[in-house]
Amino acid sequence: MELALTISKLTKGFWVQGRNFIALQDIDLSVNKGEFITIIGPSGCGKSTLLRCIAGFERPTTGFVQVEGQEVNRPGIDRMMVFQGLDQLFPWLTALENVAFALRVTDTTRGMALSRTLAGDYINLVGLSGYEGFYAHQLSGGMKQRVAIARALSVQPKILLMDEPFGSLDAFTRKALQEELASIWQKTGVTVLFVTHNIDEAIVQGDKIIAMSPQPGRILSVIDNPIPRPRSSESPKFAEIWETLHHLLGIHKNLSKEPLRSSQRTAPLEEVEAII
Amino acid sequence: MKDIDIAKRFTVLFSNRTVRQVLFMTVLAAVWESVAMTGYVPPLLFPRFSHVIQTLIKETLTGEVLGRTWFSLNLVATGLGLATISAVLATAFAMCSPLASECIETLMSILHPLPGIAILPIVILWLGTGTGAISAVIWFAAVWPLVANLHTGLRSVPITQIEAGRNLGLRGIRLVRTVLIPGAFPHILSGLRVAWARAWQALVASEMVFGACGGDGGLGWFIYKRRFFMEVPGVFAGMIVIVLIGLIVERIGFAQIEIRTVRRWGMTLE
Repeated sequence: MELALTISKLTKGFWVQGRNFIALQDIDLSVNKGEFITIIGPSGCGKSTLLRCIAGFERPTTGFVQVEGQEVNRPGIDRMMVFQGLDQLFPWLTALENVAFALRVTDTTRGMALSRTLAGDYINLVGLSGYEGFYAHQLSGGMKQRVAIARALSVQPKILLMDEPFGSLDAFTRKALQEELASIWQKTGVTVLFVTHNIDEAIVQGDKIIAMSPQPGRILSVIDNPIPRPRSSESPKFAEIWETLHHLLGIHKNLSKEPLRSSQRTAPLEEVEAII
Repeated sequence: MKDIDIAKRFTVLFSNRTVRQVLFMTVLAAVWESVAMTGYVPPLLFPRFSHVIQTLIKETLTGEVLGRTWFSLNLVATGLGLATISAVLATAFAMCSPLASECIETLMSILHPLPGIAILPIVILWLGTGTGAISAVIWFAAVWPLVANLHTGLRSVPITQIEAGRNLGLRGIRLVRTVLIPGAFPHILSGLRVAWARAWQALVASEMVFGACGGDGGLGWFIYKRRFFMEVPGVFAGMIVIVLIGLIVERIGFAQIEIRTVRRWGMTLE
């Protein structure tokens, strides 16, 4: 198996009110091409920070992240992120234009017409044909996340990073999107890293489940998931993995704190400055 | 039977907002006309509405109204254009560092409450009486709301959208152009609206202050001149033109832009 992602001795600290807060400590992880990995842990265990380090939004304090042998030091289209927030689509563009925008800015030689045609294919892929001309505010939460997935996939990333993308959705929509994502993953063969704090979701989705503990964020265990897809929670193996995870994560229950981030932050000006 | 039909039609017509507004204005004009016709008010100071309209038509036909309007609009465009450029530069400067941002914010909180017209005396000393002084007043009246809204607008763009853009490899000026400016557009539009309204007010006010000194002028100067010669219907006619232009720009210009952008995108503020 070829490696898609290697993380070695990654530690990430933040300065919070004059104190050094260790979000991630000694993370070592290898992911094969085409794997579907779920990362689970209580709020504040650094799972989102880990994803953000892989995406290149955060720089590791020590250690490194490599994608196919190349060290990550900035955001790039080989690692596309789908966020939890329902505000990640550009509201001034339609569903189709959001995808076409990604295609156009990442390859300026691609014309507008070609971008739109290609974008249409990805809108189809996520099952939204007929909604191409809808603006974000006219789409439901689940549809917005589908467009975000289409936009991320359209630039053909090596790794799809998903930061609790279905966390803001109701149970029915979440279930439908889980099935949809599994079929998209099978069709495209993209490597997926999927962060969740929902144990059922972690088992249904992941071929490998990474359990993390908080403060500092460490990898507790990597569990292989042998249950054949589509996974049903009826399967006896499911209950077994569920118990294992519950046990692993339950130990740290007392330590879990409120998450440090909220999904709909707006940027303080300093942050915008830092970006530019 | 026919009466019911007419009543029904009237109800339908009356449910249209524009129809109601036109009707109200007609009633207002009629009241004006009848008050002036009673003879209790001196016609020199309170002319009949029909006289005002006649004067307006006459002044329009001679090209006077158009010339004055053109002159005023040119001045506002210059002032607003310069204010927009300055606001963009100031905001760009504010984004360079937190210290620069603080300086701009402090400057804004000191100068924003000062009405544009209040700087006219000093501007006259510096630039003399002329179009330069008026442009400076318009610039001053418009620049602060523009800076404030641009500043707020850029900060209101959700961080996930900025990160989605960065994820696509967008950085620097490209990120600003493709993500931050469209994301800040609702605020930018509302800044332009406030700036336009303040600029238009500042223009008319400053034209009246030294209207008699200049040889040429805009609508403010037109009103000033008509008052000087006691041509009161002309004063009212000038006021009507000023109101009309304000309405056209706001109701047709800005309202249409809003419908086609901010409303369509579901990005209305509050």
